[in-house]
Amino acid sequence: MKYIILFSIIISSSVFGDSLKAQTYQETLEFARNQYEQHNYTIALKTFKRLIFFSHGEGLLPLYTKVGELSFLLGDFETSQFNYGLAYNIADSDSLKNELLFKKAYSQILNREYQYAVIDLLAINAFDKATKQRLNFYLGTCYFGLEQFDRSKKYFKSCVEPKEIASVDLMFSDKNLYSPSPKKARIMSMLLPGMGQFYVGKYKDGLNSFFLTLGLVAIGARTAVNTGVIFALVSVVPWFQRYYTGGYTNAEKIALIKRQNNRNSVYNGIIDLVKKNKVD
Amino acid sequence: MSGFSTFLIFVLCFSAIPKSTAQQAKQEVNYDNFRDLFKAKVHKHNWSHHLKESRNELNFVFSLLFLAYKEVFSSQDIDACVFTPSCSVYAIETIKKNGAVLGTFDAFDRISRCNPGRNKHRQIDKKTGKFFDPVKGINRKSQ
Repeated sequence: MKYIILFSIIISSSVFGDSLKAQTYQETLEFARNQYEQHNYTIALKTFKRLIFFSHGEGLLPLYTKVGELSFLLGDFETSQFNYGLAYNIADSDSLKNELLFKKAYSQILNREYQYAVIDLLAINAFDKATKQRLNFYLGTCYFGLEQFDRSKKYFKSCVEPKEIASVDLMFSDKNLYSPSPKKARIMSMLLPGMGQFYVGKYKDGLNSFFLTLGLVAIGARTAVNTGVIFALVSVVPWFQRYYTGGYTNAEKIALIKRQNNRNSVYNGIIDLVKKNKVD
Repeated sequence: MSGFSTFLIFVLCFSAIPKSTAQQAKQEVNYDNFRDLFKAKVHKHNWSHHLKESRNELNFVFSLLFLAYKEVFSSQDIDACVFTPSCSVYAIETIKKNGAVLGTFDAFDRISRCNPGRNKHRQIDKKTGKFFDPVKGINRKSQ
């Protein structure tokens, strides 16, 4: 029986062998490109990775770049950085190397890995004005993310015309960058519940916190007078502790969010300035 | 071949190579991609849909109480609940699903279980790091 099966396999492969052939490298590449154009990024990424595996070390640069780009589009920033790094190692021209480093750094910035982005950006060889401006902007962004505002300001100043430097200084004022202070909001709410919320401009929250804590104090006092201090400690103090702690924690959280949004406004202002002074 | 045509080919070759590389590399910088990079990410729930989805008057009253609790008390509280969804959300969902009487009993049962000691066997929700305990339908016949 096994000889019959073997014989039929040999015969059928010799007869139909020509029509049965695997997808070639070029066909797979074409397929991957089509998938990319049709925004089927997951399939395109898988296919490009397969192409890298079967490429025998040839034509790797566009493949690594595409894998980096696709991983970036799919939100996998680590894979994106890794592949841009591989592409950078085999890129032959300075401009291409720079572009790949910019892409890698952008991926790192979005992943909040500002320190790594700075390391890569410092390897860029900026030979023209546009690249210098772009590099300074990227570095300024990284230091802004690292909260090293003096360095950040220095780089952003290099991105704009001398007449706009005063505007950058104005944007980087202490009020815009450090206000409201989360620590101050926390301490204020510790001293008087709701005061921290008032300080950050959340009046409704402040009143809510104040009356809630005041109510619990009143209930506690009444219970202590009517039923005894120990009963009041057991029944009311845990609730008081929850809302008192919640009050000052919330005040700090709100201040943090507000400060972050203030910083974001400063950064958006810088983007507008850099766009206005863009070098082509 | 004349000297001029050789020179022309030479010049064309040298001008073409760097151009192709440069075209490949040069990309327009879009600074707007960086906009709102440092904006604080705040995830705020909107619970008003519970009010809209009320099926009857009792459901409406419970939804109203739930909203009042969320707005006045829960907003000032620390994140103390060990479950996801939280006990208050669980309460309103179970009242909607199982009716006012069974739902209320189920909600009290949930509140009595809301402590870290009794839930070690439960699956942990990766997003919140809390014990995952969704609302289940109560089979009235088996009660």
